[in-house]
Amino acid sequence: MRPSGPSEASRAPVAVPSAFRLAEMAYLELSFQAVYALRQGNVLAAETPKIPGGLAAQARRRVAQSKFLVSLLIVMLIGGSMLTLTPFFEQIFLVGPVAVPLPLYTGTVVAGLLLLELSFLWMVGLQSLPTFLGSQILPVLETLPIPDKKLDRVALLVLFRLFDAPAVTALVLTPLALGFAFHSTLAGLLVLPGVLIVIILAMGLSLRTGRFFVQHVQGSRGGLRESVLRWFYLLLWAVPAFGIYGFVSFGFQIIGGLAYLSRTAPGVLGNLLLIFPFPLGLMPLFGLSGTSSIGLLTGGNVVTIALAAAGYGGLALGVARWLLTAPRALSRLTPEVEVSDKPRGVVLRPVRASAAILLKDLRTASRTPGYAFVILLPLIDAVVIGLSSYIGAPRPNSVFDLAAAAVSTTAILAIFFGPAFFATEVMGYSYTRTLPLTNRSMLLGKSSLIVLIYLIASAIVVGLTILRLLELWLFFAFIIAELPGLIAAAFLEIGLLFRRAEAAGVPVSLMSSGAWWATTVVLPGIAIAGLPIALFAVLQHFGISPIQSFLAMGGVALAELAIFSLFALGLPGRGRG
Amino acid sequence: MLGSNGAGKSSTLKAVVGLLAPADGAVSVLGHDPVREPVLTKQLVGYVPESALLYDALTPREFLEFVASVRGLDAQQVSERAKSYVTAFQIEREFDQPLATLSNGTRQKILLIGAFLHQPTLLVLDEPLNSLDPRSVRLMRELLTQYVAQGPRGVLFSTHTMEVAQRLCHRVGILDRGRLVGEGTMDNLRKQTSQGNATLEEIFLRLTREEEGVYAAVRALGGV
Repeated sequence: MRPSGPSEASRAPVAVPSAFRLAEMAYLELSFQAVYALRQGNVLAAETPKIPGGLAAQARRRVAQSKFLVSLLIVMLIGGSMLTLTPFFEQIFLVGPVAVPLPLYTGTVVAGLLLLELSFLWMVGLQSLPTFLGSQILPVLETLPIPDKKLDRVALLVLFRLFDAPAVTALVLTPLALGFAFHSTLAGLLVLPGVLIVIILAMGLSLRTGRFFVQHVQGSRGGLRESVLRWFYLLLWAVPAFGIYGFVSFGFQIIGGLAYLSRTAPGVLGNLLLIFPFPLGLMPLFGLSGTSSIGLLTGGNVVTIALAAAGYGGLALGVARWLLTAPRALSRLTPEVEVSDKPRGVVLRPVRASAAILLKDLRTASRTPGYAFVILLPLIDAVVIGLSSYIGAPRPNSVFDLAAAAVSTTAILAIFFGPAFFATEVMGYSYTRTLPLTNRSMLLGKSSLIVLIYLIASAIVVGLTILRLLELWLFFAFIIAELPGLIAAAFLEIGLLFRRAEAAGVPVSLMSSGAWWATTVVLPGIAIAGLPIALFAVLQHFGISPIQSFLAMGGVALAELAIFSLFALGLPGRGRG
Repeated sequence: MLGSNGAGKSSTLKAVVGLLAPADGAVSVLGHDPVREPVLTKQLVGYVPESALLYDALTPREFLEFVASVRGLDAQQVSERAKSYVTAFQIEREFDQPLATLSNGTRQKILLIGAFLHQPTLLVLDEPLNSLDPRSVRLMRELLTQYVAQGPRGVLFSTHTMEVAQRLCHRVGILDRGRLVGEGTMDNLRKQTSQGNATLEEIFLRLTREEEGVYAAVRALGGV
């Protein structure tokens, strides 16, 4: 007997949507998860409109806002580089103590810009990877009857969507800006391969380093030794940021050093310099004529540059081929877990609630590179500016200025990232909201993290400059005078977040996801943290004595603390965060 | 608390623990309003959510330390208590692995231990036996019975397993599309439905008017 069942027509293979369509759907889900984090336990407030299309559109809008802000930074990098190609800066290097040949100077600026773009895109990729992996979108698609090749393509497209805006900004604006600066369309076009190579290499580096961290950091066991090792690995995560800071801070010194090398070691070292990092930066010179191009582009140099550029092209091609399958492979990767046969025993060490928040954030950050980065960036800033005192401040008097600048920028950066520390709460926050945690404990815990970053950064700067600071007490006085202002700024930011969350009827963890929300909270915070520093600078400018300046600075900072303690500690709806 | 999917069980429990404010009416937990006195209410309640959504980057030890810290518990007492539960659930080996790397069942066990840590007056458990292995289900049943017997404590939990509810619960509430359609002891519910020897499943289907719907759905699927 023939079994009854569906007709043949209904068994016809269903057409699988195109990779682009699937990637768009996956990307929308990823944006939704990144903004609302429902999979991590967040709940939508009762007042939130439940129209699915409306929520999705809002998620898409918020992610687009974030990408727009990131792209603005690329625009600033390109703009900064273009400034250095203006006659004013060129003159400084052409008539400086060691004159830099014009082609070397312009080549260095372009190569520097490409390196900055590489570091920045690498950093953006690293920051986006946890979202990409945490959303668990690809494992859902894996269960559907979609051909392997198409799944690979979808994974690549979704990954690319994460940093498409800054990548496209770099791809379009770099040639345009260089063409404008050199007054040559050809010179602008010749940098295009360099930018393309940079984007591919940045994606490759992001995935490669991301893979390392999934395997070796996320599955790492608890314990002090393991924590130290994890933070060491996380320092590697911050290498691109270190590169950006280093290049921006020491750009003039790098160019001066290269000028010196071009005079003293024109042979082997010169050729090495043509191989890294300049061949891609020197490419636009082929489109120029006159003094801008002569000198470097002769004989053997041209061959070396061409070969090195081709080498980078080949490398990018290899990476591009690897990228066709790597994102999907990464999405299936699981952390390597070390299972212990000898358990350490069950001894719990409870601490105060606010300290528990701080400890939890540090522990979470130690296994979540994106959050660790937020903590490490102000510290890297302190290291770079502290080190720059050896190069930029030959006279001991100016060491204080640089050390103070290091501490000040650290304070501003810590405040800038303040709301981002709430992003760690997204994970498991719905559970935490069922614990008897007061807003006050949360406020103190989060502020402690900002203060901790500031104090560690200050200690780093002291360590780097202690032998060169003439009057150490001046520096300590500066650190202490700024501290109340920093705490006041932290209180203001967190108080604002809580009040706005209360008014909107949503968990406070959601407040950190909107770029504009963050901006309206961060800017007042930066103003409050910056006010005592600005006051000190103004008083010094007018020749007021350091002691009087510190007293005024500390007085303003204490007044800020008094005002914003009242604002923050009188938070409504305790325990409802 | 019993109910079909979407009946409002989890939302009710979330309102009890203060995660959601009630859209209408009021919630009173042991004489306290979770909206107006959230911290006080939360001190009295231990909660296990429907999904084991935790801080994935923490280990069970770190997570329980966090819970114990926020609840202000004594180190020695909480360590002894945690050790008893960790041993009972046999998760010593996983105690220092990040939660992200653990199975759903193990994560559920960690949540259960977290809820028991402060020995709350009221345990609110949203489908607590989901993902647990048979041994742990049995263990939980015994633990809950013992827990209630040991003091003036209560357990409010939702489940889809009628057999567990019938065996464990002193009182059963049945939710249907956001409304409580039946509530009381098994005897009360049998009287309410005029079914002398009915099982809880039969009572549930009768009160939610789903009995005929089930057979109709089976008949419809037979033709697929």
